[in-house]
Amino acid sequence: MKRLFLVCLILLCGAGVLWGAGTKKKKPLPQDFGSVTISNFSQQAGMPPVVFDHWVHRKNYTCRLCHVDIGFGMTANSTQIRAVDNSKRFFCGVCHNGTSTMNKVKIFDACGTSYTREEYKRCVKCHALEKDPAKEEAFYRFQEKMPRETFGNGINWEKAEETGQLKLVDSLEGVSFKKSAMKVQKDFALKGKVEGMPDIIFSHAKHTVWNGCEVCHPDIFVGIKKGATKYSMIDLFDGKYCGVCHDKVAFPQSDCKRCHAKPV
Amino acid sequence: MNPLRVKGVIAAALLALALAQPARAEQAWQATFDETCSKSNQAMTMSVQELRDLLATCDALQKVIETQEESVRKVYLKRLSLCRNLYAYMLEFKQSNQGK
Repeated sequence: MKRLFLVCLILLCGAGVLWGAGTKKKKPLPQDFGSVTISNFSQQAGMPPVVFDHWVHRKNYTCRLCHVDIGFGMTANSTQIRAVDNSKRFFCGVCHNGTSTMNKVKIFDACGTSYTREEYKRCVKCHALEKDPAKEEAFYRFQEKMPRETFGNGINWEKAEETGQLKLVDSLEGVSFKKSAMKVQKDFALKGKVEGMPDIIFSHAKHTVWNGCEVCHPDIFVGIKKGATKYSMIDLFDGKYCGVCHDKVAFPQSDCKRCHAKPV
Repeated sequence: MNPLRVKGVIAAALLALALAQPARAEQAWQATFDETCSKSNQAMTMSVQELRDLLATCDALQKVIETQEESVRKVYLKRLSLCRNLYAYMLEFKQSNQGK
């Protein structure tokens, strides 16, 4: 009887461990951090979903250019991109038009009404069937030239931009409009709620370099009065406020010291 | 001049005008859109009245964009909502500060 009880207990614990492992959020590999799967219409058209790699794009362009000037939403599938939109040179088709270049390399054309077997190779660059080892290798080649960071892509994007290793394109002819220089708000501190945790230094300057104003206000940060909105780490880890970008594309929130930066 | 030829020239001119007008109308709303939303960087320094005027222009633009074909509508409504919401946000901020 005792033996039966012991076996049952071991089986129950084993099942619990397996269940827990299955539901635990897996930490993405550096090359996959920031990857977004877009699947609105692809499968209806007989194509695999699009796997969009943020790192490929953020090394050349600001977030603002794509999320404001081109009009991409901030969550996967919210933009409802159709092949016909790309063919009309909207969304991905703004740059992926077969004529635009980046660093003197022609950017491949996106989507068409029909395609040959040969052209299908171009389709699967975005409509990814499986992991592409060439892309993975390209990531590591790029990563080794960049300032390193422990989390996320393993790249300190902020430092790379500051040191001029990355020169980001922030406007496109025919899409962006001419804007005057922005008057940047001062940095401010937010009190940490946990005893001994340094206060958060929020830098408008660092954020506006990549985002402008309208990416964050008011869609992500709706409060107009400083201190009125109470931010909790639970909300942030749940993908609200800072969590809209941090954990998904920008450095993860588990990298505490990047935000809780005020010397104690 | 041959009357037939005159009629032909008039017809061609009318056709050209008819074709040109939608294009001109399109250019007009796009120019207004650019003019309106390009000011988002200065939203913080604008007066309450300036922000109200921009919001009114955004609302008028929205009606025009809603009549465009699907791709244009999708892109420009999204872009318009971003700048309109920022102006509305700044207006609320300024008005709440005025009340103090």
